[in-house]
Amino acid sequence: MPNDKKLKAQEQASQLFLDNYGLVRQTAFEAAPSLDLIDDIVNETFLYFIEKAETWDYNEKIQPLLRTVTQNIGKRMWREHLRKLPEAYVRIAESAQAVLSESTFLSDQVHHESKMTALNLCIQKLPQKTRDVVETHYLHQIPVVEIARRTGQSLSTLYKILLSARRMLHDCVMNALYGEWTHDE
Amino acid sequence: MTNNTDLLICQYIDGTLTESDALVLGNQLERDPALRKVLRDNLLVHFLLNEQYLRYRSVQAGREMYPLPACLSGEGTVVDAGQQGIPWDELVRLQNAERPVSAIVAEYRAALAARGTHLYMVKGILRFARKCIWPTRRDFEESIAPVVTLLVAFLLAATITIFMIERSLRPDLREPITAMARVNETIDPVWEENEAGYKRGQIVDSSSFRLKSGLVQLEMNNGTTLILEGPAELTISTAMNAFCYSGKVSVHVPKKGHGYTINTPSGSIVDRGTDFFLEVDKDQSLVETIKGKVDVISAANEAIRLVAGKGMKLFTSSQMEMFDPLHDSEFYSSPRFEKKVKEQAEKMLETKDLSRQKENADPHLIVCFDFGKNVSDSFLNEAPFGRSLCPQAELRQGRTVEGILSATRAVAFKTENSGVTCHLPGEYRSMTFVMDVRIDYHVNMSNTLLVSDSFYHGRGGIRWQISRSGALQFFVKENDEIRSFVTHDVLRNMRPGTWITLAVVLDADKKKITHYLDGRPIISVPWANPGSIVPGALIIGNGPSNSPSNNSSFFDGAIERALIYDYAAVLRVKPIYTKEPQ
Repeated sequence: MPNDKKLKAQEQASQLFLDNYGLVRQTAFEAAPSLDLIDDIVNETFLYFIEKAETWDYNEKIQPLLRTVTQNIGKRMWREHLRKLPEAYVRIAESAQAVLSESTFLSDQVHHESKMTALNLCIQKLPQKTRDVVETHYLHQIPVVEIARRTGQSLSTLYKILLSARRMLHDCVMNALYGEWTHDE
Repeated sequence: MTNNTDLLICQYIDGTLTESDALVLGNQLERDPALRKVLRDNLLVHFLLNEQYLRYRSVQAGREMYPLPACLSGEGTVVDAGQQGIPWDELVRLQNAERPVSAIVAEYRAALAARGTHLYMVKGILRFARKCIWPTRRDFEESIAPVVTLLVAFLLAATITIFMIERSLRPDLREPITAMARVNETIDPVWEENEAGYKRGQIVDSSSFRLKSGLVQLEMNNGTTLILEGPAELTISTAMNAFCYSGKVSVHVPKKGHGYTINTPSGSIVDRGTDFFLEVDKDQSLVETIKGKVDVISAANEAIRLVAGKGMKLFTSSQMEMFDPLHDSEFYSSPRFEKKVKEQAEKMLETKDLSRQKENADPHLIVCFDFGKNVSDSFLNEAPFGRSLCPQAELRQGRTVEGILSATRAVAFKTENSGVTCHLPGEYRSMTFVMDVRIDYHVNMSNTLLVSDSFYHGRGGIRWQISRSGALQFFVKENDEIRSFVTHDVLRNMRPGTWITLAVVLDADKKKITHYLDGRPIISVPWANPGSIVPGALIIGNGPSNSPSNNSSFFDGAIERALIYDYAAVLRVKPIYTKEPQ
């Protein structure tokens, strides 16, 4: 059973981790742009953070530390992921990781919650048919192929809809969050 | 335009990209920077959407809003009575850096199952987590309330947003309309059903006015004024032409408006330097010339010149009939109308004074700048209790313009360095900001209403602005993070020249930030873990620009009044004029 001092440190670390949970998930995706890896990276980050709970200085800001830990774990997992990928996909994966690390969106000062709020507002602005496809795919987790089968639409039409939806949402979220701020254009 | 390579990106994200297409896409990405941008933007939105709906599904399933790490989210799986969890320290010891946690957990579970012991390993961890975060059952129960409150706030905000948003998505620069006329004054106007109505000060292009009762004065770009008396229906076709379908109109045409024409169902009246009255109904039109001359043209194109003091009836049958107008005309001449305007303004100013007395009695009003009263370079803080905090403000390069009423004034900031500066010391938990503003155009990326120096240097800073697309945005800087609380494009289609009352209430106790427009809440956004607000040096009406490509962030409009309260003053967000000129 952990002693009191260790328990207190772990309590503090747990709470800080939960407070910055959105930041950790964003950083995980930035380091390893695959949704399948996010949970594993976050879990490992949490365990590492808790394991060393007694060593952290809680008077300093915790976000840079969490980011660094998450990035290190994320990059390691990403390397392992790339090793397992067929050669044909490696270049795309590397490009994906490079473009995300160049972008400041996932690492900027805007709070994760604000990004979610902006996204939610922007989703409401989508044309109804586009929103239906987005919700079917993301909320109900129906693969695009299955949506095509159920609705009779072609795959390329659905991909075009998703592409258009992401483009609209991207512009809308950037405008909502940053107003006059230029981003890494 | 979507091309094939963009579709390949979509397939990559979807996980359905074939190897041969992957090779093509890989090559393209290395050569084409624009394609890399498309990939980036798609990945970012893909991530956000996944996060958004992941949280939504968690909440729907009765779990925490955030999907917690597997080590802490044992609630998501079945718990059998009698199972024992793996001790916390044991799990940390077992963690093998070469393999992800989920694999370790699965292996451990399988190993224990093989020994005949069914262990729900996360239960122990959950026990530990509960002990850390919710030491007692009561704490656990109490923590549910904020989660439920957040969920209700989220659903309410989503519902309000769904009902209020009807616009297209593209958040373009809002193009200025072709301004043809301005609504100078309105007196007790009642508009026809399904008519949006017009407010004093609004700029209009070719528009229709369907007035049930009351008076409206319009001024064209060329100086021509029309006083419309309801019931009346009139359409402005061009700057030199209008069509009156029914009702009474008093027309004054200055020199540069010569040739101004009003068409009616029974003929046309062309100004030749005059003031005249016109009354239209379905069968006939009456014209009375007050000053100068007009040409009256019948439906059969027969023209007669009318001089001052003469009247003409035009019939839809093309007949014309001269008459001598009564001396005591029932029409609203300019002097008579102006008298009415003055009476109305006096009543409204009385209302304003009463409201101000109530405001000033509020000990939590710490800043009150009434730019409408005080026409000078320095503005005294009229909040009696706040005067010691922030005695006065300085005006830089602003200019005074007409306010909400013709009898009041406001300050307009139309240049790079204009603004009102003041210093508000102290730290605050909750605050309320209220401003009476006139919206002109949203030419700038951000039309800054108020910004504090601590937004850029230090902590607890704030920034309040209207985006180019007409969204209300409030930003708070907390612990080096900038949190944004925004509305949809609520002002996007607002006519230029409209006076509105904007407010934002920062409520640290209820943990939310609410935007108000003319006293009505637009949206409440959850404000988790609110920190202190440290206003410090404030600029009203302008703010520094972070964008190298757009140096302007002044508020494109005018401000008549700015108030700050040091609490969540929900009852103080209403317009000061209880009876507005509309």
